[in-house]
Amino acid sequence: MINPKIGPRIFALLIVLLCAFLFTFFSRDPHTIKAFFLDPLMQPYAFSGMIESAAILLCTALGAAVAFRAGAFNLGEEGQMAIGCLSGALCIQLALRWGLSPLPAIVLACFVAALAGSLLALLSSLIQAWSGAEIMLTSFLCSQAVLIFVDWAIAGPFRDALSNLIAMPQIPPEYMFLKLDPSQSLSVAALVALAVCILVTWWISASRNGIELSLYGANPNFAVAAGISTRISFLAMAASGALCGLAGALLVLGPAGRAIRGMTGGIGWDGLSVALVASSNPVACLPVSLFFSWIDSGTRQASIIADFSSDAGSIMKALILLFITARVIKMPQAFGRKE
Amino acid sequence: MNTVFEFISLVILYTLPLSIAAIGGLFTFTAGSLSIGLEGFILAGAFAAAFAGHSIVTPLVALPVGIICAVAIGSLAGLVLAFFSNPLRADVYISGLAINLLVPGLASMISGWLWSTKGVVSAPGFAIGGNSGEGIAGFAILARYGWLVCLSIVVLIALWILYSKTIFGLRIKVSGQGEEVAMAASISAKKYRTLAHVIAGGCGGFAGAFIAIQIAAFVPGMSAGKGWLALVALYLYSSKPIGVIISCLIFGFAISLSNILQGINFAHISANADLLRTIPYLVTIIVLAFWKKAGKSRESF
Repeated sequence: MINPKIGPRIFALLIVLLCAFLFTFFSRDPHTIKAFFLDPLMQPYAFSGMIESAAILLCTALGAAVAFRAGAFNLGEEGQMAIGCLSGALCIQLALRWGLSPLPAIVLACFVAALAGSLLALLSSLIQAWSGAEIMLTSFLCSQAVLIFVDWAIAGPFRDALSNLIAMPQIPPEYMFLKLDPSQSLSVAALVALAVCILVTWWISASRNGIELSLYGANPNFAVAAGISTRISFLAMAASGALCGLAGALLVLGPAGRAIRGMTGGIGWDGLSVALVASSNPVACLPVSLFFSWIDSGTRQASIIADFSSDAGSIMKALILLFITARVIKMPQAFGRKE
Repeated sequence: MNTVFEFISLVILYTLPLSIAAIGGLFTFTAGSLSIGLEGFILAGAFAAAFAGHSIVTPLVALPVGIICAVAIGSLAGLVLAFFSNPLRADVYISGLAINLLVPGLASMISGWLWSTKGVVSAPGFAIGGNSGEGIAGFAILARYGWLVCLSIVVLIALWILYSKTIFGLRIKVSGQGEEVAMAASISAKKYRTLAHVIAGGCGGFAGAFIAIQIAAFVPGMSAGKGWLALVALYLYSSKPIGVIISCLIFGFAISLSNILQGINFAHISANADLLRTIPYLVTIIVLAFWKKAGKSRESF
C-alpha cells in the first residue's frame, strides 16, 4: 500500500520542478537550463559536491525526523549544527596540541560535536519538563543565542589571525575525512552519513526504544498508559541534537576543512524541510536530501555559468515546504490522505 | 542622563512593532489557527515599505505609501497562508514556516533583478531630516519618529477595540472554539480564520514598515527574530491584548538593553557587541520558562 501522505509530496516536487523550469526558461542565457538540470549530475566536481552536501543535510534531516517522531517540533537544528562545527573544530585543535593521531582525533571530534548538539537540544526538553514551555519556541531561541555565540567565538578568541577569512585555523588534511577521490571533494563523510542513516532506520523501526519513541509521538497519553516513560522524549531530543551536531563535525572535517563564521548557512532549516517532506521517515530522508542538494547544486552551477539568481534555490525549497501538506488536487484513494 | 532617555526611547521604538505583530498573531491564535509566519510578514512589510521609499523620494508621499504597501503586502502574505491552511488544508505551522523561508529569498531575488543588490534596498524617501537616525541621541530619536509612534499607538488601540469590544472580535473567538460551535452561532469559522490571518499579515507588514522607516532601508534578516519574539509574547499571555503588550515591553526592554550596552564603556571594559546580541534571546528563554513555571504552580493550587 502506498503511503497516503505521498500524493501532496509528489505534487510539491512537481511544482518545484515546474518552478525551476520557469526560472531557467526566463533566464536570458540559453545555457541556464543545462547548467541547472544537468550539470550537477554530469560535471564530476559538481556531482561530488552535491553528494557531500546531501550527506551533511541527511544528518540534520535525520535529527529533525527523530524529534518529529517523538512529537517534538525541534526548530533548533541550525544552532545545534553550529555548536557541532565549533566543538568539532576545537577538538581537532586540541588533538593537534596534544599530539593525538588523526583517527582517534576525528572520532573524538565527531563524538564531542554530537555531544554538544545533544546537550543544546536537551536543554529545550529540560525547560519543557520543568516549566512546560514549548520545545518549538525554546529550541529556536536557544539556537539563535548559540548561533551568535558561535559566530563570536569563531571571529574572536579562536580566529586564525593569518587568514583573510573570518575562520578558525585550517585543519591539516590528515585530520580531515579521507577523500574518496583525491581530485574531488567527496570524502568518507558521505559514507559516515549513510551509515548513520542505516543506524537511525534500524533504531526507529526495529529497536524497542525507537518503537516506544514513535508510539509516544503518535499518542503520548496512550504511550504513558502503556507504561512508556515520558523520558523517551528526552532521548529523542538528545538524539536529534546529536545528529545535528554530528552534521556540524562532518562539515568541518569534510568539505569545509575549518570552522567559518556563518558556515551552517540554513542547512539546519533545510534539514527540517527534508524531514517534513520525508514524513520523518529516515529512509525517505536519503532521496529527499539528494533532491534538495541537487536544487542547491543546480542553482550554484546556473548562477556561476549563466544568468540565474542564486536565491532561486531557497525559493524552490520554501515552495516545497508550502505545498507538502496542501491538498491542491484530489488524489486517487491510494494517494489521497485519509479523512 | 542622555543614555537613560535614549534607553527609554529605544524601549518604545522596539516594543511598538513587536506589540503590533504580536496582537496580529493573537487574532490567529484566538481563531484557532496560530500563524507562525509573523517573521515572514514583518520582512515582507519591511521590503514593501523600502521598495516605496526607494521609488518615491519625497518623504511626505513615501512614508504613507510605504506603510500602505507594507500593510497590503503583509495582508497578501497572510491571505496566502490562510489559503493554504483553509481551502487546501495544509498544516498551518509548516505553511507559516514556509512563508518565513520564502520571503527572504523572494526579497533578495527581486532586489537582485531590479537593483542588482543582494537584498539590500536603500529608501531615501524615509530619510526624515537628513540621514537615518545616526548621530542623534536621547529623546531626539523618539522625537524624530514621534508621528510613527503616535500612529502605532492608534493602531494598537484600534486592534484592541476590534479584538475586545466588537462583534467581529467575538466571532473570531467563537471560530476558535471549533467548527461546530461556530456553526451553532451561525458563523463560518473558515471565513473568520482567513480574516484573522489577513489581519496578522497586515499587522506584521506594519511592524516591518516601522522597522524599515527607522533605518531608511531594507537589509536581509532585519527582522532579527522579532516575529518569533512576538510569538513568544503571544504564547506567554494569550488571552488578553494588554498581557501580550506587557510581554512585548519586557522583550523591547531586553533588546534595548543589548543595544545600549554595546555603546557603554564601564571602567575601561566594553562588553563584546556580538555577545550582547544574545541578551534578547536569553531573556526571552528565562521569562518563558519562569512564566510557564508560575502558571503551572497557579494551576496546581
